[in-house]
Amino acid sequence: MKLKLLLLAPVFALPLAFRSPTPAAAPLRASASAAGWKIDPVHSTVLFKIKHVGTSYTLGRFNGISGALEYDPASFGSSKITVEIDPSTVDTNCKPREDHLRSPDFFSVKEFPKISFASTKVEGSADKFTLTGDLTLHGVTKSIHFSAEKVGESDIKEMGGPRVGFFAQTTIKRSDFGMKNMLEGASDEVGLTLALELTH
Amino acid sequence: MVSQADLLLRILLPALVCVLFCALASRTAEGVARRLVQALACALPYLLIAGCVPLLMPQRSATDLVPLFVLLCVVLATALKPRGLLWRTTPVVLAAGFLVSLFSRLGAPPAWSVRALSMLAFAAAWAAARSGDRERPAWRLPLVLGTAAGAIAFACICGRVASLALIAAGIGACCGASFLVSLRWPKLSFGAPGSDVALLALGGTLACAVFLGELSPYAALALLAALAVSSLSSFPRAFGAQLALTALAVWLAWPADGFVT
Repeated sequence: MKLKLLLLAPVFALPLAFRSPTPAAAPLRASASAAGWKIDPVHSTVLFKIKHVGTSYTLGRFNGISGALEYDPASFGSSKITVEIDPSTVDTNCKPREDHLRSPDFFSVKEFPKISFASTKVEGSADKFTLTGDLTLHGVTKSIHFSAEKVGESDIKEMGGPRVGFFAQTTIKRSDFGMKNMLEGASDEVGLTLALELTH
Repeated sequence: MVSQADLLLRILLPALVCVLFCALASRTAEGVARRLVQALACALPYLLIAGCVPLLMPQRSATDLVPLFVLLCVVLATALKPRGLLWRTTPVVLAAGFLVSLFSRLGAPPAWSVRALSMLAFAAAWAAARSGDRERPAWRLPLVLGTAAGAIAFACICGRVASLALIAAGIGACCGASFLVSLRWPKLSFGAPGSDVALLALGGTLACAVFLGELSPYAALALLAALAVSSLSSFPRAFGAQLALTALAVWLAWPADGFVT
């Protein structure tokens, strides 16, 4: 009997071995320098929200995200972030609509293959701050403001070391960026959400 | 989705402006002034349809290149006398100028062979379409251009570029109005200067649909061939060939997964 239990023990222990490490918030290592943070695309999402024929909100996302962060908890106000989005990776769960979004009616991805955001100012504390920066969309660059917060940070060796997460939201007018087609069907105001996790 | 405002401002009003300018041209003395008014008969409606005054707005996207080249075409169509060497080479110069500007704006420009073929096809179709202007009845060119514009509008819808489809449809409405009026009053056709402007605008729209959108290049080549066959002297043959090539283009452009948006 004892022998059977001993033999079965690894079988029961197996699922525990595959469990995610405890996501307890551990303080960042002192060695985590300000530079060198990169967006983890697997755990980051860029969403957009647009009103369809004044009736409901349609949500979509961009699956191609990259970017970098200069972040030092000790001097949060001097943080800088750049985000690059590949508009051809737009995902709305409807391929014909995605093809249309890639066309000159909307993102014109063959002419403007990149959407980028580069922060210029961070105001407030890490809990709640305003992130100002230049958004380049459809070949037009304009300054926009995100309402943002730091969601948390961790330092888990099994997940590759220090991580920090931010959540930011804003609303832009797409016509400001020269995207003026079909304003009757799809609203001018577009909500943008950045849910970013960055690794060091 | 085409709103009532779009229908009025980008289809009906431009067609009315086109006919009015054609009427004005018929009362203008032959020469530079008449050629200018005839060129404007297509250029002004086009600028209304495109919804921009390109000289006043910052140039933002490749589709804004077409109005700039249309204005250049107006100047050339006005200044150059028909039958001159410069007049004959206008399609080549403007087609090459427009396409080179378009390619330079693309994130990943096509291969050199594709670029060369595109310029050649665009210029050849344009040159062929204008080759028999003097011998043909006044209503033939507006009919050819109107038919081509309708087909390009439909192909643009197939290529999922509604904004370009609306521009082509607007040009088609102008050509259709000019055709109907010139059946009764041949002097009211927009003539060679107007057709040059319309050809550049249509070719530019088509090029944008191919290189910025999802329109099949084979469909675009069939549409350019449909314009070129209008040079046949026999109207039944020319129009029959144009309709056949147009049908082929629409078949080639038809999206595999329907029109759901």
